[in-house]
Amino acid sequence: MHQSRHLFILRLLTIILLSAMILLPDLIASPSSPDTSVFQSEKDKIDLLIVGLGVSDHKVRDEGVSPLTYRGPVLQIDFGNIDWKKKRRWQIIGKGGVGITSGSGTIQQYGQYNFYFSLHTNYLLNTNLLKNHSWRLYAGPDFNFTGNTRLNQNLFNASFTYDFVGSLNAGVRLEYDFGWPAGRTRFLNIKRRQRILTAAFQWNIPVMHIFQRPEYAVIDDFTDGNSLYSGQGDLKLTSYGQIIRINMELSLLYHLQNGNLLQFQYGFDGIRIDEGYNILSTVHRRLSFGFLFRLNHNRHE
Amino acid sequence: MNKIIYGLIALFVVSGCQKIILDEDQATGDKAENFDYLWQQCRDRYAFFDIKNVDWDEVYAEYRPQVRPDMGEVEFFDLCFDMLLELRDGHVNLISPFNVAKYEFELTGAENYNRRLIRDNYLSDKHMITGPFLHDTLANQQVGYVRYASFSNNIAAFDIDFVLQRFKNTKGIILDVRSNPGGSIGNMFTLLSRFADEKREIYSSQIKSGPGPNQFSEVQTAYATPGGSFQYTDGKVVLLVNRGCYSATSFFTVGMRALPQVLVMGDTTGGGLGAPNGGQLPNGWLYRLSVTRTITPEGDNFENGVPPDVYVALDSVDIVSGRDTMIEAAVDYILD
Repeated sequence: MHQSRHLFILRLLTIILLSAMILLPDLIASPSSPDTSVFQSEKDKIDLLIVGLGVSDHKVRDEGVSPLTYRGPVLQIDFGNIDWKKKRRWQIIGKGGVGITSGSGTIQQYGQYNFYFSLHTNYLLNTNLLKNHSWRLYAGPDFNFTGNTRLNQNLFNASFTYDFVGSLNAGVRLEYDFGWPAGRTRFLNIKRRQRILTAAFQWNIPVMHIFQRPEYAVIDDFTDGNSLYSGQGDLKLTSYGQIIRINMELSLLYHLQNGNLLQFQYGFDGIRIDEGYNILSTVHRRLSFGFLFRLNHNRHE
Repeated sequence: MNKIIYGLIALFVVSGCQKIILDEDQATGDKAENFDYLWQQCRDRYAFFDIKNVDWDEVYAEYRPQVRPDMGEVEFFDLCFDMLLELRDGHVNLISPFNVAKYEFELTGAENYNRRLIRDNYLSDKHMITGPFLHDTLANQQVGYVRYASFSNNIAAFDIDFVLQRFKNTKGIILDVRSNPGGSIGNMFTLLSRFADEKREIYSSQIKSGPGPNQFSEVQTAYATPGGSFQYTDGKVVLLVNRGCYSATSFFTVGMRALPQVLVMGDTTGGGLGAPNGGQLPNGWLYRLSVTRTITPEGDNFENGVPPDVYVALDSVDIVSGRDTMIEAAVDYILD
């Protein structure tokens, strides 16, 4: 009951955030002007340290051990670095999380511990396809390595399962700056500072994956005396077919006067591995809040 | 306005992505679906249809017509487990919130173990308990007696060192694992290493690698390798077994058979030489199935029980006179 309420709140927050991201630019922004652009020149650079907290609505179904969908919240922390210029954008961000999910069985539910980590890096170049100074379209290589491990002690020798997936992607990122230029309010004629926000949408289109997960029969107490975990599966390389991965992020960045930024983000990371048996599906729908501390004080560093 | 439209499209795309990754939930309480799922999991994963001489399609034909939508949960549980009982495998279980069902392998033979008989007639008041081992000396301190009741009880290096050092000057050791239902395979190798004189192949294992009846992984060979600070290899070792020995204890028996100073005495073990994994049904119940098979270096598959080198059973007349027939036979063998 408690979990359902939490998931309902999470879903509600997600809808509100997504709606805000989509509607905010049109509702509050002034007509696009250089005053509300993040970058005033090609040399402008923003070097950021990101520290974030998030919670994801995590769903997983590993048919190697259960036909049920396990669902629950996963708490997550983010840490990384973003080097952002008008002509290119580089980032490396690590994420780690833990949570308890429970099965969808109507008769009996068993808790499952979920541990999640990822390393996401990309180097994106401005395509210069968008001529408007408030819009930027970046594209470039993106690499996302994700590990999901699960512990469900009710499953005896199959209690520990996992999936490790590294995806080489073509990253596409669309950014839009909006806000208020400095001036005075119409009402009471109060002095107003410049405010800049950036809405961004990034979609990482997979090109190639490397992955590892347990073999057909999942077992962690095998009988050869050499390894307590057996049937762990080989490292496999694939492009399309065995894996479907959808990875995207919607972000809203608020630029503070001191150069730091606040970030609200909705992220979707879904992985489906189908090797012809034991289909594995994991979905993280993540809502996070991040502090982005500006590391460079000189705008043109 | 265009941005709003694009945004709503993006929202729709994001919310629809989940359906591509994760299709409809398979949770159901439907009796027929759960029965079919369980039967299919067994068909695809179970490792011993040949050695159990079970035609799984015939089993389906017998039990499937008995499934009714209006069955009670207890009745349905019993029907499912009646089907699983056809495998006669102690590693096959069905677990629901209201019941845990298992095949009672130990009832397929005489018990051949009487704890009170040993306590009253063989153990002195000075018998010792070191870690998981209960031990004492017999026959004027010429024979060591070691009782290990469960491979679930972890063996620390100190425990086994102390016991074996205590008996290093005896003519032999009786290692009594009767009615030991098994446990951790790690403990099995720890104990085995203290009796191994050199690296010896003891068995090979394969794990199911696909749904086909003969889809198994490559063979992995297991060895008994000397380990720890002290090995008991000079004196005779008698391993006492009965039908209550199962799983890790049967693996241990197979391993000890390969050692030259060891004699296995008693009754055929309960078997259980297939390691089980676990799974869940669409209604949330849990099950276990044997998914590996084990072959001795001689090519034997002892899933139905590891035979002793010498058959000995408890004699009812001996019991009345306070004698454990198997311990007496073991002492005679060691002192001979």
